[in-house]
Amino acid sequence: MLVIKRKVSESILIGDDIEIIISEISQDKVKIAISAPQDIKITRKELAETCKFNKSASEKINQTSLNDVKSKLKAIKK
Amino acid sequence: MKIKTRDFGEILVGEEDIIFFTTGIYGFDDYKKYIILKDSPEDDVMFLQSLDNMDLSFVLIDPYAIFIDYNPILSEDDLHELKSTCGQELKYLVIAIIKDDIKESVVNLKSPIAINPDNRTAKQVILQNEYPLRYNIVSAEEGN
Repeated sequence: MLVIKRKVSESILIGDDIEIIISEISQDKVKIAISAPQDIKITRKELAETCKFNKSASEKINQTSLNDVKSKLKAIKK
Repeated sequence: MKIKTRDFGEILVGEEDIIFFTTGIYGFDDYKKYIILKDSPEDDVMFLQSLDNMDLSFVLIDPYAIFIDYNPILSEDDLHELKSTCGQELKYLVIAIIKDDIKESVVNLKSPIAINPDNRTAKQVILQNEYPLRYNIVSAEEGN
């Protein structure tokens, strides 16, 4: 993995037509501006992972496994 | 009204039980109307059944049954979308992946379903908190 240090208003280029600009830095957050062609999909990673999670979660479940979970949660309560 | 469900056959529900997603569950953007079903009222495990697609259903778990200190922080935009001022009145439920091996069963604490009970508006929100996206329902050592 490539690691680069940048200051506010500096940028990096990925290929010829994707530019990532550091727009603002606060204590624990960085605001970045991305300039890329229309057909490049830009997604926050946790959103993409949530999508993937949801796909698996929508699969039909095994009733026995579900009952296991239920009894486990009841046991924790007690 | 009568509805068809994936796991419970045909059942009768009231209009007042329907919840409306402002933005669909991520990856299932087209489906906005759901109903929450339970086997028994005291269960912490429930089902989120789509009304637009009877084959679409998710297992939901009360996060407080698993993670007692759960304290979701929503973005201003999400609060606005749910017509909530501070998030205190919102109800939270997390989506689960149930595997045959209970140790592999996980919930998504990072992106719960937030529901405003006053207007029955819901949204899957990505929290500001640094909660794990895959959190084991039972820890490895107590899984037996």
